Amino acid sequence: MELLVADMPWWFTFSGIFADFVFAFTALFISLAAYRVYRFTKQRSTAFFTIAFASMSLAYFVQAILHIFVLLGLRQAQMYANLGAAISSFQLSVLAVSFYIFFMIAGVSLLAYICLREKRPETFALFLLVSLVGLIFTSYLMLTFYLLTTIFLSFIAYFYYQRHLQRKTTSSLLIFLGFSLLLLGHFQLAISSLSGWFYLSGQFTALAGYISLLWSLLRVVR
Amino acid sequence: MAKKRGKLQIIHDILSAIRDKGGSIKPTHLLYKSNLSHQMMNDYLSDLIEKQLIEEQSAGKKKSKEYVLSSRGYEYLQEYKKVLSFVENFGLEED
Repeated sequence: MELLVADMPWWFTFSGIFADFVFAFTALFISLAAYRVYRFTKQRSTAFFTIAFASMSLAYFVQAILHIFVLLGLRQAQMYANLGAAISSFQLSVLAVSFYIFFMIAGVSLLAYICLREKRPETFALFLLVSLVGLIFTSYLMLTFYLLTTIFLSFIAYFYYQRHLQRKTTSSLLIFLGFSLLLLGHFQLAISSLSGWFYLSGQFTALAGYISLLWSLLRVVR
Repeated sequence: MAKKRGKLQIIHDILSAIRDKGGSIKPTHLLYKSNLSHQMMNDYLSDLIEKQLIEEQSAGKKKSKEYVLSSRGYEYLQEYKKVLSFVENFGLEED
């Protein structure tokens, strides 16, 4: 799914890159807001929240930038029948996927660790190691990756659902909605091998999720 | 019965007490204003000094101890509502 093919429609490729940049900037904004709070509170949970969104932001930035290079390499390969350019593009694409997977899993598992109110660092190490071992040895990399993120996001969404039931505010609803849409988006991406339309709808659903989180953050910091 | 104060609320109350006394306060005054036990107040003060929200100084002829609000402490008071809102909305409170 992540490997760009030369004969893909241009709007499909560019929409993916555009979405990645939007996700990256949104996650970065949340991370910076959390860091500003951490400067005052020096709370461990806020520090981890900052790192989690920074990791996710980095994942999207790296993926977007490397996909641009892949696209340029593939266009060059297509125009000049350059096998070397095609192979370099493939290697870059593999690199992009690896970075994306690592930083996304690190970010999402750290968020789940925060939401579970766990204090022991061994728990986070367990989440991360089990996920990475599963990803290294699977034959279905992207399916496994999106299923893992779906599982982590389901715990995160449930945590914010419970908070919304306690608080019943617009902000708590937006945050719960945001993570639920991310969960739904990742699930659609997991099943995108069934139909390419799930990839598109997954990206749009995830985009709606990040917009909801951004909106709740703007309500908080204003 | 009054609702139990969270940690951020207690920090806010301590810093507000210092600000309301003109930016510096003696320990006994702070103990009365903060509504905390002596041990808890000392724990919080150590935490606040470590976070550079207040400073401990000696003042007057008798060199009595005083706690002074730092510039970061003033900043905390200004940003408190936003900080509290962020922590509460994203479920980042700590016991």
